[in-house]
Amino acid sequence: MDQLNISEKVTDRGAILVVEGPVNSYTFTEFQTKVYAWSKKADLVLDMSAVTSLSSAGLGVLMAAIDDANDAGRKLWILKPSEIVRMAIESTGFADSFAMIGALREAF
Amino acid sequence: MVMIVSGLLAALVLVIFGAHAEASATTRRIGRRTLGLCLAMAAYAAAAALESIRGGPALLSLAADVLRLAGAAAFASLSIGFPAERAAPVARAAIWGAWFVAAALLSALRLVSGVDARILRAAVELAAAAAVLASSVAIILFPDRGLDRDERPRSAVLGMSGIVTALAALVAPFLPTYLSGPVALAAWFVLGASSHYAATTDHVIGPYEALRVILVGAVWTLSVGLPVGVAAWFLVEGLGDRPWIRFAALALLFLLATGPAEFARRRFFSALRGGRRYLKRLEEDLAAIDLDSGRDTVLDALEQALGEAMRFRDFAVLYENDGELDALRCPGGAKPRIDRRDPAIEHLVNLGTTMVSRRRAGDNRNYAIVRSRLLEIFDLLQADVLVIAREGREVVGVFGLGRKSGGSDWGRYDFESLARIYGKLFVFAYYLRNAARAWVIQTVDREIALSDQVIRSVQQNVDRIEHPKADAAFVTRSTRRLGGDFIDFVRVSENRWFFVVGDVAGKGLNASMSMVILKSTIRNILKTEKNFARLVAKTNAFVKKSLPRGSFFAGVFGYIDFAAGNLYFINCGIPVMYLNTPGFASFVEVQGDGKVLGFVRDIAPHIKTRRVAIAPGSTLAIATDGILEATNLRGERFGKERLQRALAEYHSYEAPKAVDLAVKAAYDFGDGDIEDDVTLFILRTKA
Repeated sequence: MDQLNISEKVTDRGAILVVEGPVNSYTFTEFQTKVYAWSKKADLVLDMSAVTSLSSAGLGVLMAAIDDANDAGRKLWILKPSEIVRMAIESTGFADSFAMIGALREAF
Repeated sequence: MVMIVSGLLAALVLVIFGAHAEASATTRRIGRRTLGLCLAMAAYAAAAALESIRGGPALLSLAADVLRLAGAAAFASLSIGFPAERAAPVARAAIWGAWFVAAALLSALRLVSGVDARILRAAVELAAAAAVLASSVAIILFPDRGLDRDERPRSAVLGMSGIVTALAALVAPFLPTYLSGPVALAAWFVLGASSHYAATTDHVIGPYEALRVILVGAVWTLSVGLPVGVAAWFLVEGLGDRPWIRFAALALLFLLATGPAEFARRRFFSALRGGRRYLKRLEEDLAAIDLDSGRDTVLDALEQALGEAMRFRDFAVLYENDGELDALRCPGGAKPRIDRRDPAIEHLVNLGTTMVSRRRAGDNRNYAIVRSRLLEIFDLLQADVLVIAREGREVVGVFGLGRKSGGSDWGRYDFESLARIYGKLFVFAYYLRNAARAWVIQTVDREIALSDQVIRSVQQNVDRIEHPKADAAFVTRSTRRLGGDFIDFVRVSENRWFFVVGDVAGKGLNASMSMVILKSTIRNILKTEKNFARLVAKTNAFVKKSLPRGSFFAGVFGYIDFAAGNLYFINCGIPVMYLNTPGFASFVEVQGDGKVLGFVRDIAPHIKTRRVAIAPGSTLAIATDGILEATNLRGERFGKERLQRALAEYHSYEAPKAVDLAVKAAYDFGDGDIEDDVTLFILRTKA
């Protein structure tokens, strides 16, 4: 899958973004726009189970979104991160700061 | 009753004026002197109020007189050279000496000789008024020669208010008893209030500013004064004929009212005074500016973000260009050019100044020797505030922020906000300078044309390791030409090198600019910070606060000591560091755990300095993630094991060739296409 596809679901408990495909230098802007838009205004679940690559810029968006959510008193979960996402997160040394969950019920 | 309430209220207001002046006046000394004057006037007003209580302590009358004289002395002291700082210790000592003698004489006449209090009161009124009148006439007729055109109006306001006060105070003793006290109180209140105005206001002859101050004062006085006045009335009436208890209760009320009054000033009237809180929004707006969008767009967005937050009229930007500060934007389309070695700019750099207001430039003696030239620059840029974007002595650019819309002043909150966003302004100045340079070599591919040459030259500009015991080489490649990888070496001594290898997260121009800025910032920090861990902590703080949102640095900081054969390093998220020692004859990972920079505000608790011995014959290899993430058509990653094998295979070659071959192996594996930047550094130690 070469294209990034992000679908949004809004529930009364928060928002869910389902991210599929690569988050790289070509697709990063869409990922950034959608994540930044939601991270401040609602509790957010990022379903990253179908992410095939995550560039450092994409990882930076996740880190900034966690900051934004914390500042706004919101929560951000990463649902079922793919192996490549998990490795990228672990490479930061701050994996404990990323709320990674295995099922949606752990968030909402 | 009127005297009690108005006196206490005046005292309350004067205390807060004094506190505000102390915090907001351009210079600390002017602020302190204004505070002293306001406190003396406040004490006088409180004493005058309390002495009017029937059966109140008789000494309050004497205290009110002594304090009135103190107020006059404080005014005379403040007026010397106002608003510039003039030491004049002899003149001030004479003023306070005269006050001391007058106070002692007054006390003796009242307490020992029993001279009629009314006669003494009139004498005090006349003496104080005469002192204020003389000081006021002096600063109007003989203003300090060093004052410029911005300072003279403030000096004149002080002088005129002194004359008004003195004339009213001279008339007061001859008025009927019921008018005499209130008129005197009002006159001295005006002196304190107008001194505060002259000491804290930039544009004293501005109708908007004057109107705003009067409006704020009226609203504030009514909202705080009415409740206090009503409470005072109930106390006086309710406590009956018990003067000491009424005195204590009113004093307590006064003290209790000070807190809410100051709170009201800060919170509820800050908006009216132009003190709207905007920092958070401004930081967000600045973070949202995309450096990829082109120089003019960036400049427009920057002007809009700053202008909407701080509400100033004119905006000027100068950037450093071959020893000159050239205008990128200037009011009226002017294109001024200032020599980087201009004495005023040099002086600001020598003082370590990052921002200066027109008022401070005019008042503060630190700027005295370049004052006229500095004010010329303010005029040239039509600015009220200059922000000097610099790293050490290198001035990257200058921002000129104009007079505020509506005539309000640049206040403490504005300067605190500027200090908070200074790092970001520096980043913009750096970007604008390099973008402006690259504009000359514009090509079709804007992203590449903008800064590739500059960035490449920065990437190559390192103190290469050239040591008899070392064979070192590195390669940095970016598939999109503009990348965030960087490597830097700084020779610390004959046998010691400092190095950084890493990757600044981001894409394209943003990442490249962040890389350039971070590289120069680390070098700058290195000049002053000798503690290794603190250097990394400061770098982390810079990444967190000053680089665009979402930026982080993954890499390693190290010191190589060839004499001792040691490598000290702090892993900040470098994916791999291999060491091959003669005894082990294999490439072993030594990097350990690491935390990237720019995620947490304080990295200090998370970092650890490690040491490994690099005996002669050892090989150190450091790589960023790009080489590991090279992917072939089957989706397999090059990874650590293939890199390890490649390093082992080319181990017998000299470092430059080994580096090239290892990188080539990764590119061959990825069929010539690697998505991320690639950096590989190899160091061999020799006997």
